[in-house]
Amino acid sequence: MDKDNNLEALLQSGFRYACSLTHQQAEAEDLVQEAWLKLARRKPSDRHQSLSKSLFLITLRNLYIDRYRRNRLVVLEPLDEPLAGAELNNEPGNEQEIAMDIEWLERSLAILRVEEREAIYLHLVEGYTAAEVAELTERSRNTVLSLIRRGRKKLVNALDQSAVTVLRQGE
Amino acid sequence: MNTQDNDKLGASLKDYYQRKSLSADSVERLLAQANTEKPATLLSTIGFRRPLVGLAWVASLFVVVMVAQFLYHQQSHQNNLTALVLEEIAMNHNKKLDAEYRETQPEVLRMAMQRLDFPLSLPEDIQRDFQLLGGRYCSIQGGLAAQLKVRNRATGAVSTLYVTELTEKLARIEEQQVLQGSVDIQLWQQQGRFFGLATDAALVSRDDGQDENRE
Repeated sequence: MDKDNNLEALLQSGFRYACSLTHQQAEAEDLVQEAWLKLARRKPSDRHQSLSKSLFLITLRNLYIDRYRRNRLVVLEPLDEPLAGAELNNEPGNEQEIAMDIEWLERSLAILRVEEREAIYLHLVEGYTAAEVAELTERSRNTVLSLIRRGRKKLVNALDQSAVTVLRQGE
Repeated sequence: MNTQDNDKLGASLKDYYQRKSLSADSVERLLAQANTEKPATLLSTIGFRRPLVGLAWVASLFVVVMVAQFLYHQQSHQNNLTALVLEEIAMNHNKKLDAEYRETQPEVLRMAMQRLDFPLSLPEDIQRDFQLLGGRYCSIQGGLAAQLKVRNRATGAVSTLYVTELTEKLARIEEQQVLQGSVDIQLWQQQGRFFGLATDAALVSRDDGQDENRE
């Protein structure tokens, strides 16, 4: 893979992360371009830090916070609940067939808080561990685990409601 | 949610986000920018994808700077103007020149000083507290003015009262009472005219009524 392909992959990855923050493609594209420009024009003294994926994501995140003010992104309610991580895979069973199409995900993800969507994206899509997400987003690991758990729960609830609606429409 | 559902959710989310991608044009443009790494310019940094927004921002900044500069100069000019008028009044007062027209009634004095193009009627509080002794022509900031000698009825101190037409320039001077050297000066505007009352500071008494609000 040549340099440009690496950079393109980095751009696309950053764009998807920006989508998880903004949940709007146009805004995400703006954010990516702003972050890209910022990194491309770093001071020579800052160039020792290579253009890594984490640096790009952190830059995107900082710009997002700057743009939308911290109070829209930071966690305002306590999330450091005990045993949050232990509950990740022990939610009440949902045996329904999960038919999650794009449209449903679009709507469901919109109801998540930004920090929940961000944590779920980094963990489930990018494959970062909770500890890595915690480091990247400057939160505690327990907070990240709680965010992921709550986000998942909301998505499942949205799916349940959607299924009920479909059933009622079929009656 | 069990592990299987988690996997399905994860897979669906991956699929959902994989479908989101920057257009080829955007990628090409960004890569080109990364390769050139030109020094940042204000417009490109601010405007980037929206040059008009950047331009508007710069224009706004320019307007703010210009307005601030204008206000600063205006304030500075106003301060200078006030200082000049105070200096002029104090200097004329210190000359202690005799009245050329020795009339004690404002209406009569006005008739004598025909070059004046503004009324010479005095404010009620001035008439109440001071006795007119006479007047002469003078100028304040290039404008024709009347320099009247008045005596404080209570203290006997002789003051100089300046009256001139309220020009746009003089209208910028706020009402105030200041000590200019050894001269106590009050400035105010009333009935379309500009007034200045100068008294030797040593003769100014706090009970002489000069500080009272004017009608």
